[in-house]
Amino acid sequence: MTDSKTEKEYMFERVKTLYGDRLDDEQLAAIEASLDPIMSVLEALRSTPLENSDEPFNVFKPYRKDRQ
Amino acid sequence: MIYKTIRQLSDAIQSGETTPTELTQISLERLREYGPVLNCVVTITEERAKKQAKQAEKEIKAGENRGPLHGIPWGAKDLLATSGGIPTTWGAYTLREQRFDHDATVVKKLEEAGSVLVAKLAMIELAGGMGYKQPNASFTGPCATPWNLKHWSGGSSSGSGSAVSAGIVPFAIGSETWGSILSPSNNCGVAGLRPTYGRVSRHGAMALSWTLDKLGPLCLCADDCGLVLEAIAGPDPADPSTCGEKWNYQPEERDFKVAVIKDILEGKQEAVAENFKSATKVLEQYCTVDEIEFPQFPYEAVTRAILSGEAAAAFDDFTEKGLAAELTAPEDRYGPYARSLVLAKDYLRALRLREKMCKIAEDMMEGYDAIIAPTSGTTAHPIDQPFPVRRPWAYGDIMGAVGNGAGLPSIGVISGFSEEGLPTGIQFMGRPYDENIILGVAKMYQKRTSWHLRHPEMFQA
Repeated sequence: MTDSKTEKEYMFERVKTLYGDRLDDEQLAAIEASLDPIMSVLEALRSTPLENSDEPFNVFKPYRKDRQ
Repeated sequence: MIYKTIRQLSDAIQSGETTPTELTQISLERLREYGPVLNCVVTITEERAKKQAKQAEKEIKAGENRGPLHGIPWGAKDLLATSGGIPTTWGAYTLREQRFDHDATVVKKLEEAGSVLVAKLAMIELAGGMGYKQPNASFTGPCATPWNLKHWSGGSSSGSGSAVSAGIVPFAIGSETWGSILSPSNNCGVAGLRPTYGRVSRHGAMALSWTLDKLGPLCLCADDCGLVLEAIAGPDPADPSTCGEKWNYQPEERDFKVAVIKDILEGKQEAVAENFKSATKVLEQYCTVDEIEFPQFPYEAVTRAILSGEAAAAFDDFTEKGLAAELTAPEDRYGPYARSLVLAKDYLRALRLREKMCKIAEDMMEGYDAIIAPTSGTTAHPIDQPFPVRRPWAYGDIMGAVGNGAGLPSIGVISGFSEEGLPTGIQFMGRPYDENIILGVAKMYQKRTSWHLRHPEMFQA
């Protein structure tokens, strides 16, 4: 998906599908508006280049009770 | 015994001038009198407090000294689990009857240090994780700064800042994911220390964002923050993210080298900027002050995406059960739905960018003891007004984005007042694990200024 507008619409449809029964029109309108800042965050992240070798900054540590 | 520092109170206890029971009684009375005025209290833990005070008194009389916190009353942000039937509400009406059968590690450590838990203090519901846009976002009502009851205490550790500033408790514990210790520090004019991520165990604290949450003290001065941090820091098998070393409070006292980010005062309130400039002049008595410029990078997007993704997961059950519908702030009732749809690949992208952000921060801070900045861009917001609408995700808070995203310690202290009599703050942000350096810089600043010795008139008994 390359068009952020399309993605925004998809996200809003998904909110309505999953949670529409518990939200009124006013809340749905507020959620639709709140998707703009979320899309801005995603666009900023996606436009920043990464190499394949750039790993997530969370180091998984195998667990053993006697070794912390 | 009101508005005395921890060191002063400890000396007074040891010399027999006062007792833990007397201090506890004073705190309990002030909690009852001023708690409802400020909306800063959720639960007064009177029974537990009296028992702990009696125990401390007995030990001190027998010559046993557990350290500077022995017999000192304190308050806990109401996201720290407490046993014995004391509710832990996380600030949410829905969870007002929630109880745990264990104490958070921090609560345990403070008990081991001999301090006396007198109250669970108010907080923004779910630590602000639902995206609140106004001070009225807690089932205990909007919490006021003691400097002006028409203005907000800051959040999400609202009651922790307010109760210390009002002289209700000598110190409190708060938590910060992004701004939740420094904001009440700023608005209430008290010292607030956000430790390095992993310095203090998060076990038993409500999780908002597992890789961003930190617990830290709010006190009358920087020196007190160091004393409290020493008691609560250290490894904990129950929290694998804790760093392996015990931490001792040994504030450095020397000439320092600090940096200011270029254009950091842009858009800041006039009083905030002016007081920051005055504070910088004080710092120049013992610090070299340089200007630095951070490279272009999506700092705020990285930290916000991590926070959003982890908060969506942490409150997934809460959200799916429809429990948000009972939250106080209307926007918190629908806040979690949209961000729960952020894709896993975007969250992981943010984590991959996080490493780059941490390296940029480390490079920028190389050769410096601290980066200084206003603690907040404004003084305390009016208590009955929504927050100003801000540009999407761009909060202009590079210190908060980098500091929290990279897990850096920072301490906020009072830098002066606005014309309306509201406090402003300055923060000292250090490299990871450099709490003794930033505490040293802040302590020396407070030796040269007297802002922290002023207290709100209404609460000076």
